[in-house]
Amino acid sequence: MINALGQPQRILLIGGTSDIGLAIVSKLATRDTEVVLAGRHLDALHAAGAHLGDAVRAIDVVQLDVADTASHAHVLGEQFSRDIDVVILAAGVLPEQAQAMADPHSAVESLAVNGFGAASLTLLSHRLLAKQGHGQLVLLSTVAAARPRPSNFIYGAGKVMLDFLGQGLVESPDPRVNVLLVRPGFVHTKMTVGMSAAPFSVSAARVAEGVAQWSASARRSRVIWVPSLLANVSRVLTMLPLAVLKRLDR
Amino acid sequence: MEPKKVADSVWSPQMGWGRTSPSVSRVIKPLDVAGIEAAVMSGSAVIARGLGRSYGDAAQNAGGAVLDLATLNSIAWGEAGIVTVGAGLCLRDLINDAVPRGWFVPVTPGTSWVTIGGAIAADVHGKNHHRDGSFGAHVLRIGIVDGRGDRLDLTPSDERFWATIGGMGLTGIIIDATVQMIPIPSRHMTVSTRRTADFDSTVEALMSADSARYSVAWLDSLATGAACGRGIVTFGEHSSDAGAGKGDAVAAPRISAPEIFPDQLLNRRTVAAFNSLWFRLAPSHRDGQRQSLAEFFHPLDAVAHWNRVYGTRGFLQYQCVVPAGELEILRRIFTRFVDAQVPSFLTVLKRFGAASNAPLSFPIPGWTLTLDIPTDVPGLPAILAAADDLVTHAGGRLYLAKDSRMPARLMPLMYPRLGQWQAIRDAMDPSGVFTSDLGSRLGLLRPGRG
Repeated sequence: MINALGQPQRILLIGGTSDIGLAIVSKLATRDTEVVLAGRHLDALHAAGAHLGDAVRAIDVVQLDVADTASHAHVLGEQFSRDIDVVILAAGVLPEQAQAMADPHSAVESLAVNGFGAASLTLLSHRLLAKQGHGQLVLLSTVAAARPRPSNFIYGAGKVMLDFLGQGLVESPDPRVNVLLVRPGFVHTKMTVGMSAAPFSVSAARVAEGVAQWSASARRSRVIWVPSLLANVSRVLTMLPLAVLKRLDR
Repeated sequence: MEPKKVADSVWSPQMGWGRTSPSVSRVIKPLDVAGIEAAVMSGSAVIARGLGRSYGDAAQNAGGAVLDLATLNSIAWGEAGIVTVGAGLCLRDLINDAVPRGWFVPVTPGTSWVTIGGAIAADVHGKNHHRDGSFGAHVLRIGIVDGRGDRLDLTPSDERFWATIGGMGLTGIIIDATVQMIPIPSRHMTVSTRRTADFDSTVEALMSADSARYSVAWLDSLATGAACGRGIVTFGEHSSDAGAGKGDAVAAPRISAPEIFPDQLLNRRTVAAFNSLWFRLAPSHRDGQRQSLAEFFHPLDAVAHWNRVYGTRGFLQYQCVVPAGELEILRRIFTRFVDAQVPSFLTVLKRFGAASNAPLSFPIPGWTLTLDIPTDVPGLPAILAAADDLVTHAGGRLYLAKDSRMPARLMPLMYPRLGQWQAIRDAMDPSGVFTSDLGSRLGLLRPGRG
């Protein structure tokens, strides 16, 4: 149960090694919070859990392959045998655009994670939270889903599916589940190391701050951009002629 | 047994009086005891909900059902002030029925907007705890539907009776109760007031008022330095100078707070101004003042929905008790709130008398301190956690009917008889029918339907 101070008792982070996901967990959790990290590699999950350390009451890890949608119902069902207050969906891969273009199979593999896998986990989590009667669902989308850009539209294509579902859930609210669709700009994480930062780049901590502000007194579902200025920027981006966009998108 | 069809129900968000952490439950309004039995056997997790005056999540049941028992409001008088009442009966309706007959409820909390079922489930206390104990001490019998759908009549010789008193509704659905009322010669109170300069003199005034049937102290939570702990001590007796009179003893609210208050209206500045004014308006020493029952017992009831004053973020009430010998720790707790300048306009200090036999009943002999606090006070989680540590260290506890945020790990430390209560509850509810958000949050439930 989330208490009167907005403190959750149990958090499930899907994409348990995600820098942004872990930053959100750190921000929301207290020393009485139990955290479940779900992901593909148990060793990496244990290492991620070790970073959270004593800041939380307990850390559990669970193996989950986002691309294997057939396994999701079982894995999530087991976790929901006890109440989960917040589900954070931070799983994703960032395909190298040129390589993905050269190898359509690898492009489809990324779509299986960022698109179908995320869609399956979103809908399942939402259903399980609704059945439980309470809870928050935090979906990590991206500004890359707002408008295809030459440098990352295969990544964006997968995220569009998540983003569209997230928007749908926000706009057809279920009083039992508060959904937050987060659209960050370029975030400095281990996934983006070595890449040149796009304008309006932010830290994972900044994204976490935005989520925490909503979570503390979540009364309704919403979409947030981090930084918030991106909301307007994206409106411009979507209307921008391709020639101009190409110049901006190096 | 096959799941039974229950009365029409709707999903709706439920909140406590503090208006924090809402959750969605089906609301079922059984028309009679058979309807309650059907709801219990329906396959859904259930909890009874009275008038929603618990501050936190005691009468919420995310994903399950809450039973609204407002139709169970019967009053049947027996001999010598013994009355059998429906669990959904509001205390103010009982008072209004009783006073013209020369009787009064043996215990009333600070509001008359509580049901009999709620008063038993929270084992409420009032200004006379040091003399008369809590509500459960005056209950002679409880009618309840347990987790098997069986109707039981529980009396004080039965451990299930005591598990139900203070059991936060988790042992079953209370249907009715038989209560011993107290005789009153008048519908008025004779009240004395003492304004006190600091914490020590407030404590002293309360102790010297021990012989009074009712006593309580209001504290200025924002006065610092030499004035820290200054307050207004009031004590009262039922007047003996008039007949029972006619008309309602406790009238309907005079005004209603609208839903328009901005967040952070109650901040350090506004509450400090209120506290200071309240303190100065009180007489420094007055005896023999005549007050109505409502003025003395339920002053806040004059404003309906006064909880809206806290805005959309809501508020919480922190009520702790420490054993009588730990007054110094209580002083430290209070001083920490003062040092942090936590804006509370309803800060109350009160002496408790003997504890009840009920494992989860809140009062223990000692001192209880209560503060109303907006949830958006900066640093509040850490301030309250530090207070929790002091309370636990002193062998004290928090009041479950008020709680909306304490961590589950403190529950067995604060309530050492928790295991005993759970064993009795498990026998009364073997499949875990009775659940609530509070029960879930504090680890009180057994695995079941929840």
